[in-house]
Amino acid sequence: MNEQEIIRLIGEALGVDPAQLSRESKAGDFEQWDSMGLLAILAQLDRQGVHFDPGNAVALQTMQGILEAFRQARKLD
Amino acid sequence: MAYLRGIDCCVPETVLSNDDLARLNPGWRSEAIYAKTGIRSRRVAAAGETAADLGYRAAESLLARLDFDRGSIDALLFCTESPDYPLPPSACIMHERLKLPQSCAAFDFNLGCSGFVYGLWLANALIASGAAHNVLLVVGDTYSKYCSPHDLVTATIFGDGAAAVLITASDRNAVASLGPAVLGTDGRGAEHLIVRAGAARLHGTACASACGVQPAPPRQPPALFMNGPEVFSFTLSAVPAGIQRLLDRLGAGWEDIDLYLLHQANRFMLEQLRLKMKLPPEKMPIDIEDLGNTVSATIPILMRRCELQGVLKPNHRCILAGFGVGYSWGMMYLEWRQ
Repeated sequence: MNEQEIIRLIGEALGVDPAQLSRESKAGDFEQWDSMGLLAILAQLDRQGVHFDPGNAVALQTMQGILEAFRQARKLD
Repeated sequence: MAYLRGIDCCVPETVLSNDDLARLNPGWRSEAIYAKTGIRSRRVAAAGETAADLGYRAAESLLARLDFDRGSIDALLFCTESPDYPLPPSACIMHERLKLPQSCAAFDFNLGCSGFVYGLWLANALIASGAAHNVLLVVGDTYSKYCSPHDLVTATIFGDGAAAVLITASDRNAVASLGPAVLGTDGRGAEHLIVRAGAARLHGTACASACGVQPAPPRQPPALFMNGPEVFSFTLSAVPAGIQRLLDRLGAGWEDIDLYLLHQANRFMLEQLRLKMKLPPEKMPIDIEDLGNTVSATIPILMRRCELQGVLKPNHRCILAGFGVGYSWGMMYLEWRQ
């Protein structure tokens, strides 16, 4: 999976147009990326087979952190 | 084998709407609460009204509707995390109010959202062993007494309610037959959904402090804490795995089940579970809009509503799944008959 595919999946989870998202995006940029948005991202990671420690959920507040989670799960090309 | 004879439910009269919560909390928007939880309103117990009161009313209504000989009830099981008192068991008080015979065992057990399935499992085991023929299972909670109306995480989700079901050894007039169950526990999750104050851990040192051993800390009101990401992650992991274990035990596939009747936690969580389990919406009903998450009562309330709406049909093969505080989870197979 490449970065653009991951960004599309995150947009889908948040209900945000992926065109508005980039590797620099972060939680404060979008109303939908709130505590529930965080859970939606967790669920998307789970569906993609990325097992993520919810105790580190703060890392999911940036796209860089999300990409890193995919990288660590060897799901990022 | 044990059989379900009927279900009845009871919720308090007072309605707490999203508009009410938004009025109490500037910055909260009614429609946003609904969008996130799928809940528009929930019922809350009045001062002095308890889960045992609601459970009593549900049980009374059920026994009257079934015209069941209450003298033949061998056991009353009451699942609650909001008992009337630390002691005696609320089940004993309910036993007296229901005028059950002195030969009837009565006890509480403390579980949350998995409690209804655990209760069915326990009733099934009591009947299978010959220890009982007729078991009255009551489940209910009043989490509103533990929630701050200013806590967005808990106040928006939880509502108060109770339900009663009768489980019998005889299949006469049964509405369903109970099948195998799988249960599970992961105590590592205890700290993520917890009411810390109100029981013995933080209290009860008055005698010790009188001896100079340890000062008694001031009593605090019980307050519900929920770590959303942790509970959510547990649910996504435990529920599909638990259902798969049950399906394996049944020798069945996901497609062989007509209805998956899950604990109604909140719509968002249920939708995420449904996506993960690849189930069509018609196989996994969500009915949470007007009552919220009533903890151990959500499954029997959902079943009763599905029964009344004709969603549950004769020979329907169902899986019940309860999950939550503990962590604790339970899944049971059930065949609807009427």
